[in-house]
Amino acid sequence: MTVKNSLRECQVFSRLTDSQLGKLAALCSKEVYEAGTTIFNSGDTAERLFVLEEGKIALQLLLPVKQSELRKRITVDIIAKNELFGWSGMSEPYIYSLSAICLQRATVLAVNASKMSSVLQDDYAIAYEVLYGLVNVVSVRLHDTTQLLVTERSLV
Amino acid sequence: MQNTRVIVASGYAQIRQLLAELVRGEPGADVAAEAGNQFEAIALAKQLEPDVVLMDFNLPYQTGFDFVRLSRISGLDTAQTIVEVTPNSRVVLLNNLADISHRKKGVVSGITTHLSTHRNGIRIPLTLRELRHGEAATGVPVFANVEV
Repeated sequence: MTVKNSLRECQVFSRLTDSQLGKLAALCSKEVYEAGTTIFNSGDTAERLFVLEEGKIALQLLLPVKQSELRKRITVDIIAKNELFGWSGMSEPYIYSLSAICLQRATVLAVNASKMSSVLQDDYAIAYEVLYGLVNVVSVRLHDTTQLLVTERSLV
Repeated sequence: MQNTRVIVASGYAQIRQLLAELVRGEPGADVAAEAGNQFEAIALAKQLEPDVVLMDFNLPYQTGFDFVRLSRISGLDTAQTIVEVTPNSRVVLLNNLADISHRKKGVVSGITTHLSTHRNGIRIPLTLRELRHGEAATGVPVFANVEV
């Protein structure tokens, strides 16, 4: 599948025209990760965002445990084919808030976040569509994280 | 030599049965215990210090929260925790069991299965004996599949 078609399959970019997709496709590189690989850790500088072409990825939150060096891990979402992750690359302070770990061998499109920001600044039509899509991604992730944390603490 | 003691863990009774059959199908391997959620899996691993833990990715954090959409995704978290608290156990995280169950329309007992892992895109068969005595790195889970 071409990079442009992969972007089109992702909901965040699905309403862009062919020429708009072309501008973003030029910022992408295709990468493959084996199962068990950590693509990024929470706290890392967020320079890229990703679209999953194949595989399955867990987004994991690390919580400190009182009086222990251990940290509690909570998987807050599973990224499936054509979904976007790593949106922290588009938002200050440009730090990943979750870790991304491959559950299966994964093929991803990695998008240079600062270059994408430049494209969005130059083209408000692209910016509207992409930011609209990103808000939906952030909204879903916030909802899932809240639900799991509430469950984890048995508050429901 | 002592048999390989294995804990099987999944949020689904049918999958636990499938994993137990896989264990019993290998000479010299026994099911030491079955766990249905994260709490049970970690407690049993600490108590029994098994040679191998076979863990479905679909493992509930706790029971009784099925109405939460993502309540059954603690497999990775649990696997990482067990390799820390019982470093002599090899923990295998299995990610395709839901696919098998779906493909077999919920009927998974009685089918012949074996384990495999992937390196550089190449499928490599895996046995419980190899897991126990092999070169798998300690401190990290083994990511594998169940093949039908």
